[in-house]
Amino acid sequence: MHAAPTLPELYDAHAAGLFHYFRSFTGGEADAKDLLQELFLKLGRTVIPPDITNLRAWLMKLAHHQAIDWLRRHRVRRRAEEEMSPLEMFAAQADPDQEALAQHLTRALALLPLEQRSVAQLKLWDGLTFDEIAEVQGIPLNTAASRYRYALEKLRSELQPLYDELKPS
Amino acid sequence: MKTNHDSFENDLQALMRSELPAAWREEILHVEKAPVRVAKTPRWLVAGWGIAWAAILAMYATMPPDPPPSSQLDFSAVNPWQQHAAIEALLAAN
Repeated sequence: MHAAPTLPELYDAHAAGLFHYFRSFTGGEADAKDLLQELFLKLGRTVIPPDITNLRAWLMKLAHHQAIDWLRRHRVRRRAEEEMSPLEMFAAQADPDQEALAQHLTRALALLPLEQRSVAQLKLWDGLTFDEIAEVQGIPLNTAASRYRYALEKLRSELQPLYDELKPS
Repeated sequence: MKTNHDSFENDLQALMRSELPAAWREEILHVEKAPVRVAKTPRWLVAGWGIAWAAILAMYATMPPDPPPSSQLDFSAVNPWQQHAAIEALLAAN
């Protein structure tokens, strides 16, 4: 039986993903950081259930509930969708084409509805399955899959001009 | 060239998300270690309640006792004829 991870271990493995997930809701870095701090405060007083199969999904579920509570408290759901500032979501890319893609993708993600953006994050960069995403967000499996499909279609549409420019046929 | 679905997803997934600033690690983990402080009642409120109760107890202690009810009064020592004579004297004086 594996020992439960320590808080520093949880931080090193999951904090970045949790932060980016929070930021998909808040739009701003400061609020996302506050939520991350709140979550780790809660984790420090929580006993992690021993039967968890996917720790990341479990953490994301906690984060999702916290983010929804934040939205309700601040009643700025619409503003979070409309004003998500295109902060540096992606690390600097060595390849100029990749860097261009990262910048365009950041802007394209900001244009997505919150529901699609958050699902896309969980699927593309947090490695969750649709089953896990449905569990995290409390939505049906089909809804998770369709939100992801719509998100991908919109991203593809937004990024098509860049692809055409970078890889002309 | 249209984006192939699989390669498009792969291209997106290949992008690494930015790491968090190194300073945040200590900041966030350090806050978790801070002792939980229990909110205490303000001293001025405790003092005010103490003074109020002391005043109430002092007033209670210095209040004269309630007079006994009339059913408990002892009239045996009163001479009604002596009282009548005293009243007659007062009326004659006026």
